[in-house]
Amino acid sequence: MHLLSRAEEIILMAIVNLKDNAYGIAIRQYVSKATGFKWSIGAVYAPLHRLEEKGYVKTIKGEPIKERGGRSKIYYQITQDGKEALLKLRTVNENIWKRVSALE
Amino acid sequence: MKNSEEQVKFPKIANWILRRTISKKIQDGALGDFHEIYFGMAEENGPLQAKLWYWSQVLKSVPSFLYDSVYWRVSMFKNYLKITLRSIQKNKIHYFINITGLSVGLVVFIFIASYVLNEVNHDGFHENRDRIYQIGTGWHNGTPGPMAELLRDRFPEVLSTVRFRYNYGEKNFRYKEKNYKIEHSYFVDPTVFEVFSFPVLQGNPNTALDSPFSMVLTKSEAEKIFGEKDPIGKVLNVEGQDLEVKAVIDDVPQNSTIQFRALISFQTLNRISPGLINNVNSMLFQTYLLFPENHDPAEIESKLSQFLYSQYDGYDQWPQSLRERVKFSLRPFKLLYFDRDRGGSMIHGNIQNVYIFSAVALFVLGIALINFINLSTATASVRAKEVGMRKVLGSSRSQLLKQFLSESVFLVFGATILACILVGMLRSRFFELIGKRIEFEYMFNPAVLLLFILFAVFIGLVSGIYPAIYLSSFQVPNVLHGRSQKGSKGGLFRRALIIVQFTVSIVLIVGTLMVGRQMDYIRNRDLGFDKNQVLWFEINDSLRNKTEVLKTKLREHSNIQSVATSNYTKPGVRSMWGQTWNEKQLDIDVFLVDPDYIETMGLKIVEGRNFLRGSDRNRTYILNESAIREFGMDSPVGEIVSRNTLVGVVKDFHFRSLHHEIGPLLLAYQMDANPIVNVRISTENVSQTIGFIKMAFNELASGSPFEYHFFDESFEALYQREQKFEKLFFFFSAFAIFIACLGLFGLASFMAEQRTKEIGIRKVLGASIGSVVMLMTREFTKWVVLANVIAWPIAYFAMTRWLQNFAYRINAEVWVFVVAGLIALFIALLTVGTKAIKAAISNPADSLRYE
Repeated sequence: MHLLSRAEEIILMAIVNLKDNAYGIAIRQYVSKATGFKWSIGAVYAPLHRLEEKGYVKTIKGEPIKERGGRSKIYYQITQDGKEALLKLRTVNENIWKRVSALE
Repeated sequence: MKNSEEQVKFPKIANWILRRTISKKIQDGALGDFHEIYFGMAEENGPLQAKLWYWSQVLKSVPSFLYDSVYWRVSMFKNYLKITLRSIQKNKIHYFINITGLSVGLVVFIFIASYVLNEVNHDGFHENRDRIYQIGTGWHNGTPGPMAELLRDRFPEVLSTVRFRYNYGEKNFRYKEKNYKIEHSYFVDPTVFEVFSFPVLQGNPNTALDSPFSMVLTKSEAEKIFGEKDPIGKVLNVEGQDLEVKAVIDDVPQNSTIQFRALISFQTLNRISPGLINNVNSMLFQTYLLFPENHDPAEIESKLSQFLYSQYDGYDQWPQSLRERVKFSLRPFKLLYFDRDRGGSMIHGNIQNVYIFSAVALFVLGIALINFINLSTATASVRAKEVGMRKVLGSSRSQLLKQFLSESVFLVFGATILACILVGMLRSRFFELIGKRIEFEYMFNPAVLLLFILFAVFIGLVSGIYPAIYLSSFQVPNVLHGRSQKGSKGGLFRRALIIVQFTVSIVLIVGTLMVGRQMDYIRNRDLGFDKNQVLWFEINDSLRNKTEVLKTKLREHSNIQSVATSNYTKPGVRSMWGQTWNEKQLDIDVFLVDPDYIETMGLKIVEGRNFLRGSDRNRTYILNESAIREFGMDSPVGEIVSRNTLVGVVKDFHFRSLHHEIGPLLLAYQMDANPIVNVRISTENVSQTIGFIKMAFNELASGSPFEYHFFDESFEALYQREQKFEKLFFFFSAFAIFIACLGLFGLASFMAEQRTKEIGIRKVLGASIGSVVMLMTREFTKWVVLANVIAWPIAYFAMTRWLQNFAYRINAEVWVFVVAGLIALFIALLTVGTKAIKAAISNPADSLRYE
């Protein structure tokens, strides 16, 4: 199994944390706040698209909204595969952090 | 929020671009996000900033989009190109045949198209071409002199008029004791440069022809006469008149219908023969009218002719035959080139030839394209595995279509470039063939080049579409399994194409044979007089009164059998008189001749007698048999025709070209003042005899140049157009057949390859070489025979139409068709046979081994 990239990891965790409100703008705001710098729309969507292709997230189409020019919000939800991948990554991270001794 | 949203305008253009460039997969979400952020921003930071942000986002997305799409397209195209080049390398002969065939076809097409365009666009250099009309009358379109002025004064639509009077024959232009022959000259109104667009190089065009005794020369004539010196103001002596050169114009372009070397002011004519231009009854002038931009020719025509008829007293009571004579019409100048009967020295085209050659051009191009399609499809099995692999690797059918289309466009492009190079190399030969130069300079114009590129792309697409569909339709399991595709014998479509090719080829062969035979017929037909042994030359005025001296002198030579004078120059030049007998009126061609004429020309008197020197008075008549028939005379000798006595009847002979029936002819007795001397010589020592004639001529006619012609040459000249046609037809047919054979060869070699194994097995099982060759050629033979059946009626119809041009012509005989069919069959068998024999004699061990 491939490991997730950093951007994919961050966005996937953001989707988990945002629960029912995980759509483009919300995700972007969330990750921008968490990382402390601005993410462009493309920077959010490219990993999102990859995650979707890998089957780690699925999309749900909301009702069309006027503020979005008659377009729906696309909500993202983590799948079982996604959860497993995230957990696996955490194990890997922890394993490696354990051996990092004198960082300070 | 709602209010502000309504106020803030959404940047539609930016949104549109974004929609185009953004990946389809994330479009739904991302575009909505953009929208939402935009309005959020507009509320917070004002619409301007929101707009700027939006646009900056859009512009940032464009470069990567462009890069992506171009990158992938180019890399795919590079791959196609590479595969094409590899495929060419692998099947060199095949592609060589394919590209050569196509480019030869294109060369022929380009040449014929340029010829046809040149013909159709004749006189295109005249700015007013579409507004000029010639007045047509029943009198060879001659009009009386005053008509032009009358019309100009009366009708505001007639902006300007020009009258032309052809100055018959070659004229002698004398400058400082030297003589120059100028063949075509006209007397013409000063308005000629206003109506027509002959470019004036020197002098003032508006005044050049205003006064009597002034003239205009073309550039090359001026250079011939004056060399480096300034021609303006110089005086030339033309037949006793001093004419001042007032202007020089550029040489008349080859695509001008009106051809001349010199123009002489109209007023000069008035001085030479006073009253001529004011005579309402002399129909001597060609009159051209210039109309305004938006004119209705039909309306003007009816107005003009009504007016003109009203000028004649009691026109309504005229007999029909007389009315026919003065039937006025307006003949559009732009069509004049294709009109036979115009008067003056004009060249004319044959609209029928234009049609025929257009058809031939399309035929040849069609054959070449069919080849291209056929050969591309024939390689299918070679490419089948490639197609299979591509499909397995995820190529869609449309991608395959694109691949094969781009390949054929690429090949056509190569062929087009090759064709252009060939056209450049061969064009002078082509000009020789058609007997005129066509300007190719317009080929270097970017618009034409662009058209060429479009043409190549178009041809590439047209010819590539069938192979592309065919190739991309292969089923993966079949081709990868190695099962050969249907059509190793050639699919129905391919067979049909070969049949079409050969049908066209056979039509062209029949055409070539028939044209050749008709030309032979013309050359060998007994004209009713000895054209081979009689030569003629022209004498000037002073010598015309001393003809008896000249004749006596010439007769002294032992090889000169007979000498006569006449006014009949070369065939094709006519002078006609109206003649009445028994209240019956006929227009008859007239020759003024002396009593020796009949013997000199080798004519036969069938009734009555020849003219008698001394006892007959001038204008005693001899008629030919046709004239007797048309008058309906029972015992012609002794009859009075138009107050002159008929003394004899001469057997019909061809005094005009074989395009025309032998019409009524009148030989009128005229002892003196004939301009032409006809000499019958024996076939021995011809050059010595001619030397003698020249010497005698120079002795008596000091100064004027001696130029002689044989009658057979003069007659040949009448068929120049047909001879050109014959040659062109021959060449184009040869090309068409060559291309068809290339295709056949390619196909045959391909089929031989396909059946290698089959032939091997047959031979192992005991088939003889002969039977294998039979097997290979049988199919092709069937096709060619079928092509014959289709071609014969087409050829018959086309050629009988062409033969209608001649009053005396060959019949369309069956054997010509059979021979054409055999030629086609022979060529086809030769082409296929070489391949078949090669396949048949190959060792089966070699052909079966490769498994």
